[in-house]
Amino acid sequence: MFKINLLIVIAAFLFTAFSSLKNESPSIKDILSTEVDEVLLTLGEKRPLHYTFKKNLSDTTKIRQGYEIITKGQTKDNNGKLSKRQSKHFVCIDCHNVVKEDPDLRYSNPDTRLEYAVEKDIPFLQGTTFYGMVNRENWYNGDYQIKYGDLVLPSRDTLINAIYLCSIECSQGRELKPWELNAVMAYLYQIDYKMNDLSFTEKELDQIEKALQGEGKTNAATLIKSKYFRASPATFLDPIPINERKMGVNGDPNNGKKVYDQSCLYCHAEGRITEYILDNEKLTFKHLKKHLGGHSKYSTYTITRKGTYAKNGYKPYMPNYTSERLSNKQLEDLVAYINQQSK
Amino acid sequence: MKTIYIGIGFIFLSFFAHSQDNVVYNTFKTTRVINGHSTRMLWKHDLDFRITHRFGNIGGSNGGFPSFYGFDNATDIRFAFEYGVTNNLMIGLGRIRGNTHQRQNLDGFIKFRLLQQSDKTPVSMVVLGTTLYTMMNANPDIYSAYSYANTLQRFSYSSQLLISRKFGERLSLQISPTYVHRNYVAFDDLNGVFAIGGQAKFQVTKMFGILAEYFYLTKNKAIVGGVTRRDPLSIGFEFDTGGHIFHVNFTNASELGENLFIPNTTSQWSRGEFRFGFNISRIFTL
Repeated sequence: MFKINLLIVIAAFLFTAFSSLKNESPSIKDILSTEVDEVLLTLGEKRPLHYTFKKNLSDTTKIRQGYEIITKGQTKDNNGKLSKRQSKHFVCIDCHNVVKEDPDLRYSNPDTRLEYAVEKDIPFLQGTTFYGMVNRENWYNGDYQIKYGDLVLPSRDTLINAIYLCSIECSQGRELKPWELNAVMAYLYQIDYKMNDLSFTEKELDQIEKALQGEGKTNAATLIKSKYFRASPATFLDPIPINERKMGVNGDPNNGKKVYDQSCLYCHAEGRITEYILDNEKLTFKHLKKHLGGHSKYSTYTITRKGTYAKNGYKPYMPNYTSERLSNKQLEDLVAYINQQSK
Repeated sequence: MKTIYIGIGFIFLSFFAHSQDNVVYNTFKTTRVINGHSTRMLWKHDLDFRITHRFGNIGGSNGGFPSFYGFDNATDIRFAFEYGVTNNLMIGLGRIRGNTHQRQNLDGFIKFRLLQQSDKTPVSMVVLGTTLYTMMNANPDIYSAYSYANTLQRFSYSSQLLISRKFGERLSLQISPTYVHRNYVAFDDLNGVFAIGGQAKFQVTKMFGILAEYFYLTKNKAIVGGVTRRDPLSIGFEFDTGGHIFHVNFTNASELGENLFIPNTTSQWSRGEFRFGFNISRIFTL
């Protein structure tokens, strides 16, 4: 009897010891499934201002409402009443994806993004994806000040201000009400970065694992932050001067087709945003080809870099492509495709 | 027996085993061909403000240089607001001046798309019902076709079935069987007028097209009040500015609205009795 009792005590002690060891040392699997911002907070990083909205993470109603506001422009409030559309002209996903759009989150490379977009069948858009939006530290950065002036200054460091600016200026709509903002943020926190979105070597994961136990926290935090861009770079380009346009010579029409299908048609197809319709008809490609050499709004070289502006009486406009969202090489590929299809 | 059931099952499943339809768009770029409707619908939430204008005869006794080929005269004008309730349903309300004795007209219509051409559907099909009401003062002559004795006599109605098909990139054709009923007409006229419309568009370039429209009145080319009713024939040009669709046209129809131009056209092309007109519209998103 004594031996049995002793065995039970030893077993209980061992079980407790192993359990406590498990709690003190997160496994690699645990780390990879954790949200990036939570790991960073554990490593001593400062909470962003918008972290307060994370309290809604388990509120599935808010998450659904946020998703509908972003994808449809409106949703039913808590009383079941359909909200007024946030904008008559756009919804968020007209310009932004809500999924991962770069294979490597360290780089904003339009060439790899286009290939990834074709592989995943997602649009190739002017705006940066909302995926990981809450993990960024700057918004409306780079050359967006050229377009929006000082309006961007309060939005550069504050996601909530950036959302307000976008809802009024970019969307040509109305300000979000507080409950709508809560809902949008609840959804955005659903699509934040997880550690397994980032690429780590085994050695780096070991480093992070040790840091979570207290060793080298700052270095680990720096390491994690180096794995994704914390501000989406935005470099405006002028249209290629007429005498420097290659007019598609040496351009890859196969690649140009990807740009046309994943990007141009997303907004310009019938029933989408604009009244200037593009399709796969030869008449359309002939029209585009005719205007390649000019500066008109029909010139592919011009309109991709300059975009258009909202006007009184006609609010829908075309956002311009920065160099990070469409390279000049891709532009020449697109022109090569236009030339090919116009024959 | 088992084989039959399996066969029926496969046939039933085949209704679901189809690839997504490729819808054909831009059969027509706007909701009118020239005077008549096309199968084009407004998108949901779109409000179309339309102004349609017809000038005077280019030739004939009332035309020529004295009237600057009709520009000094306006035979008819219509202002209207038309709205896309859904992508397949639109409504409209307009005000038509009128050119014959029937003036000061209000028109309202409902237009519903039944079919849209795709790789599985050969045609687009739309039904259209229009009601017209004249607000003019009744003619005191009780023998006049405009001596409206009661409110109902001021109404007229038209029903149309519009069937169109786009052939390739450039050619679109439409047939429009139409029935117009006027509650009150002259004693030697008929209340009901049946016509078959034929409309065509040829897309010359992406932004420029040529339009043609003809309504054949199957009967009722009668002489009413000493004047012969004629088939409306129109030719037009369409300009797409990338934001607006703008039409200019020439037509022997001097009135606007199916309830008026189909039964009331008396002008002849051969006598120079055709006129210049334009349709402009501006779409707002509500």
